[in-house]
Amino acid sequence: MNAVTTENLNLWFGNQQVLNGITFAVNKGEVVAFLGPSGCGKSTLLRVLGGIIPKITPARVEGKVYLFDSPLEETKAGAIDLMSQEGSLLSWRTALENTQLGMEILGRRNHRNKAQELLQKVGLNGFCQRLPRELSGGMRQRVALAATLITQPELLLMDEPLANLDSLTRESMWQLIEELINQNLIKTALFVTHSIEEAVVLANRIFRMSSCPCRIIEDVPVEIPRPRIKSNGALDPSCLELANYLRAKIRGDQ
Amino acid sequence: MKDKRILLPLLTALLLTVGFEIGLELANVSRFILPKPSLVLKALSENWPWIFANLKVTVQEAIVGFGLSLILGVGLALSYLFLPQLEPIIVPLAVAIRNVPFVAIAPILFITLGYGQTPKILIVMIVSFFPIMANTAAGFQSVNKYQLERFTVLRASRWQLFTKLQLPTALPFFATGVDVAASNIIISAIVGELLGTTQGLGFVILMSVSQFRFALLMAAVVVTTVVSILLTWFFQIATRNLFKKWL
Repeated sequence: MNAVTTENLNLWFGNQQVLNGITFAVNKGEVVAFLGPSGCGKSTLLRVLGGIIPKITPARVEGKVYLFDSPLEETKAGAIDLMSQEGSLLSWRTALENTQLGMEILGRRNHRNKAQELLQKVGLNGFCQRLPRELSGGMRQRVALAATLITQPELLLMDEPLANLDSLTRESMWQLIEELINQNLIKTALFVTHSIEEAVVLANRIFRMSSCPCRIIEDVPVEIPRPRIKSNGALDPSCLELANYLRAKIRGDQ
Repeated sequence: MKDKRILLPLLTALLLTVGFEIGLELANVSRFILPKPSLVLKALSENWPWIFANLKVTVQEAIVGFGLSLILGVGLALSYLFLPQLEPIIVPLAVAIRNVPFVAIAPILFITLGYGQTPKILIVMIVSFFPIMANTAAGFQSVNKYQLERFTVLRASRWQLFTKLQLPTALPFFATGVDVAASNIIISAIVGELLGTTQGLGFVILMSVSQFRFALLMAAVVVTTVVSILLTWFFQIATRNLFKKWL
């Protein structure tokens, strides 16, 4: 079963075309990275897949989007969740309450223990009652990750989730996300990133995107076995090789 | 630190009062031009029962008017949150009402509503509903983009979006609106009273001026200032405590 299928997806904001004939299929269980120049329309694509555009951001959208072989509009609530850059946590809710939010919205009960377990899994045991402002940037993103996992979404969308973190924190988050992928807590995921290394470490496939209007230039499979980060924190040499290949290609695109 | 914030203004007021007393005595200023603080204090103690009875009237007008402005301000902000098509009608209308020179229309208010407390309550409401409405509406609109997107992805209902995101986001803005509005309620009630009344602090001021009792006038001014500050503090502290979690 395909988790996500798009057919000739085009999008315009006014007269400006942002997506140009996007066609791809992502299998269930795949982790796919969208990599491309800044402002090319990667995040816009993710928002179309999440049903945000054109619902709350007006745009003209043509083409088809299927999630789990059903049209996007027919997808059941809770099948998708979104993790963004910093700012997605509610400042008046504790880490635990933020983690439970998705379950409350979906009307599911008895989620306190599950939220505590997830916070423990992301390394925040003992920080449950802290407010977002009392946590570091990395910790906040761990809470955001736990919050998206609590509803067990079939598809996780991540929009530059680690963009605001320093390099050491980002690398520890890569390890965490890899673990969550291995434990099948992250099932199918699509994520947008500017970091070539991040794409190579986390993804099974990388879509190299053109500058705006955005189209897929290359579908790069990443067949490097996990874990791709060694215990000493170094990247697998195959990752570095692929990252160098992609860097050269992206420089050429620009 | 907290003690300093209360003590320093009190000490400053005390020093200014003593300074005025000595300065006015040394300059031999007539009590018909500027009465000494000691005379003001004497007038205040001698006339306290009368001042207090009128103070109660003014405070009542201010609080009832403020309560109504809370209902009106929040109600209008909510109405165009849920029915955005009403915004182009409500906002210009509210701006127009806010800018009506109520000094000029006061006679109409007194003719239609009488010289009792109702027109003063209405004036307090007109003056104070606008900052509450404008701030609350700004709060509803300042929802974080990423949070709104997540609620959309999770297919939150309109009610969930309101109760779990828009309302908590708007509370600090609402509290600011309350602060701004509360600081004007006593003054607007008194301005209403100055335009026509037989009771309230405005009436005390009018009577003192007409009888050249300037010490009593200054006593009424001091009471007005102190009560206005106390009421503003009260509402500030009340909103800060009530909405502590969201501020």
